[in-house]
Amino acid sequence: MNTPEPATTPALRVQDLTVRFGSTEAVRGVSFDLAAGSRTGLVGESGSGKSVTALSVMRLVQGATTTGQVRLGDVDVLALNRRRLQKIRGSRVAMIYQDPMSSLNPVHTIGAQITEAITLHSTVSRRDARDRAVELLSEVGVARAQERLDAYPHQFSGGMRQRVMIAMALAGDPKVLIADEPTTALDVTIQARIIDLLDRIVAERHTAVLLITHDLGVAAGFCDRIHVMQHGLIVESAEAEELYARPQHPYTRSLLGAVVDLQTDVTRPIPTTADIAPVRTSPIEVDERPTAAEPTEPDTGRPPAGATVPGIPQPGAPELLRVTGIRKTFELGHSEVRAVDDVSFAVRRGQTFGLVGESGSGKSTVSSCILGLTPIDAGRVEFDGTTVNGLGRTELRELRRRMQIVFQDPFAALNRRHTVRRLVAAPLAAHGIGDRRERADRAVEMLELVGLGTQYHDRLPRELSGGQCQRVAIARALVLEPEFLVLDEAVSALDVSLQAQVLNLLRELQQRLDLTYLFVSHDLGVVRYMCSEIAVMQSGAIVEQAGRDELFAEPKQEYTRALLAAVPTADPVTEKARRARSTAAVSA
Amino acid sequence: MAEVSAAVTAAAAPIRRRRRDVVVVIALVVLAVIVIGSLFAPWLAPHDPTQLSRDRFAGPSAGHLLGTDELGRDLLSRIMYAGRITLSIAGGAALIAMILGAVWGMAAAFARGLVDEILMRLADTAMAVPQMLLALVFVAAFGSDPVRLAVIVGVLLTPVTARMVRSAVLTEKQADYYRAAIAYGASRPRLVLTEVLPNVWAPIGVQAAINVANAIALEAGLSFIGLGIQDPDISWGLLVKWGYEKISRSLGYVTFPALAILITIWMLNLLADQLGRTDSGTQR
Repeated sequence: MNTPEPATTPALRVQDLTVRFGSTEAVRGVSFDLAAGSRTGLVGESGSGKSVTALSVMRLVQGATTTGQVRLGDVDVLALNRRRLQKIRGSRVAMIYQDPMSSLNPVHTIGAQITEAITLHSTVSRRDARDRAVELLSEVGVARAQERLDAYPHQFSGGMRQRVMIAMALAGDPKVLIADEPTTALDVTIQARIIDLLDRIVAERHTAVLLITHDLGVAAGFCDRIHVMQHGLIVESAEAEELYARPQHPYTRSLLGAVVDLQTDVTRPIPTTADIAPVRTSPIEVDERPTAAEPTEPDTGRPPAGATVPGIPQPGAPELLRVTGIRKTFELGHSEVRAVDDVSFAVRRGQTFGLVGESGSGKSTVSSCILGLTPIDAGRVEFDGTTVNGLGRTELRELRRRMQIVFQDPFAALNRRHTVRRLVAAPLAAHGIGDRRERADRAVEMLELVGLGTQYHDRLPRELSGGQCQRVAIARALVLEPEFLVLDEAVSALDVSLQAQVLNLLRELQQRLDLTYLFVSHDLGVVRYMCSEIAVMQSGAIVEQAGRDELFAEPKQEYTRALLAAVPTADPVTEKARRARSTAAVSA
Repeated sequence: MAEVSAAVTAAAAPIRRRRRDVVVVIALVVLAVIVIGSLFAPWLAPHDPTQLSRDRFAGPSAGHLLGTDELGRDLLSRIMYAGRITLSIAGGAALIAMILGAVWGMAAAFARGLVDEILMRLADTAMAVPQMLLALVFVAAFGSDPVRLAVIVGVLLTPVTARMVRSAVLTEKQADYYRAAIAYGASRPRLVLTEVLPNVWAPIGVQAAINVANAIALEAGLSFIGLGIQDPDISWGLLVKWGYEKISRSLGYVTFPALAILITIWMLNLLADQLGRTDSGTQR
């Protein structure tokens, strides 16, 4: 009853919310309101406390002390007993998660799961519940809803599963819908449709949606109002247009500066602030926070990139890698999957060649085939004139000194029992180069090159952040002084500020060490920033290949156009206009 | 979601870790008391285990903490001496199972294909026959002095260990760090010894604790039916057998050796359980 304007009670009011795990505060005094029918964004990097905030609204955080106030309309959520709490979950507030596969129960049909959600909140007959389920499924855009009711989650694609999740969330007709990174696991074209769907739900049902995301592009296209979180605090709140046009807080500015999208200037390093990275810092007051450098300034202590854009080969540079007609088929039980179907391309020395596509397009299999990690069924991989496929184990080992790979998940790619120094020295040891001392010295050199000081050298991977781990992986890949580096979604798991640092580092290293990159990614903005030549893959085949300027200015293929059209831009005005256009195109 | 659960686990971890540490410490202390008491029985035992007295089937008293047996021998001292043999057999058996199982399992996991198939079907076949039955056959064929018993029990525990090692290695082989090691040109021995082995020590250690517990149970079973340790050697199983035969005269005689078996196995299982969890806790 301490609402200042009793006439318009917000659908959700969070006041001075603090969530403490032991002695660490994950959320520190967060306050915000959600009006009915509003689209609100909670934006921040991993560890900023945005998801814990969202989970606290549902009281789904375990092992924490929560103080402050969470009110859903006139209900004080934090004061509810278990039974009353169960009642409001689903009916007043519902939530959808990032991974629709693990959020659906694989042994029950979609229909069973939706009807269960319906009967939990109302007393209806099974038949009525089923009818309602069909209605809900059609509402979220699942075609032939009647038939699909009896299908199991694994028979749906990722995007369709997310639709099913949304249908379940809508079953209790909630006033507030919390979407926690609902599109992060999805391909860019599907992401756009899910955001459209959320948009429609707000318009038709007048539901208040709280969108939690790390993606400033997605937030720009959907949200009216955005709260930026860092270290458990909301550091800035503003209307979306205002926030993107005139960010006030240094953190917001650095975040926006670090975004790489189709508007990014490819000739310059991405502005970053090296000191955003630490996640688990002790509480700092807003005023004491280390102020970010002006977003237009490049990394501290790094030489600015020269006049030439990295990744463009010198005129007449020789071919380093040639892939001719490679094929790879995987057997899955009784069916076969053509992961790679007649792929050919060539990479010249000093070039960054981009391989872009959605999940399942075969791009990672191609990189694995090039390195001989996956044997190919047909075709040829030539590296500097030598045919790689069909080489014996010893010859292949020798060749691997010259070509290296960096994987997507930096934690998984590092042996968790080895220290940083040992990890980086491992390739030298594998090839019997130098003695123990020399190898350690060389490892230290490499670590300095990627910007990891001596204080990190004796740590284990789990004692590093994601960005630091990826630096270790890069140092390890470079320690043998290879000429050719495969970057397989190497920055996809990183937060924007870390991604910016790693991309800058890669471009800088390329110029310094004269490297050739094969850059595999699903992110068109990043690919555009890094690569001078790009091949677009779809279902195992290259559908279009062109130089950077050509591909992004005038894509020839329908698929490329669709991909490009779906890439969000971190600017609410262009992004909302773009979304309106593509929605119109889809419904037409 | 990954981020949230990570945050939640990380934050709730201290409390859970403290409880886990307490359990581990208790289990370790109890096991240490039992192991030290058994192995150093000649120096620690209050009486000579063969020294007779008139005080037959006595209950616990200040002179005989756990009472005496049918010949008036001190039960505590006999349990301690019996523990020497029981624990040595169990420890030896676990060691044998570990070495054989690790080689077997790793060979299968690294060879894959036909070799893997043959090695694993062999393990399956061995596991399909009840262990006690196989033990009887082996004991009948080779005899049952403590050393042979240790070898027999060790061999019996090998297939389970091999299976466990194989699956642990296969999991590691899926990991990106393993693929990365291949990609930078690591040789096969290097892959096995420096990449995979450090990461499968933990599950192997857990399995070792379980193996010791199973070996104790197996030895006790064999001795109880009279096919294990023979007089004048004594083991916990043998004491339980004798105590059981005299159950009408003294309850303590059967109970205390049985308790020694029960508590040791229980503590080993607690330890294995907690060790298994600790390891998964170190991964992020």
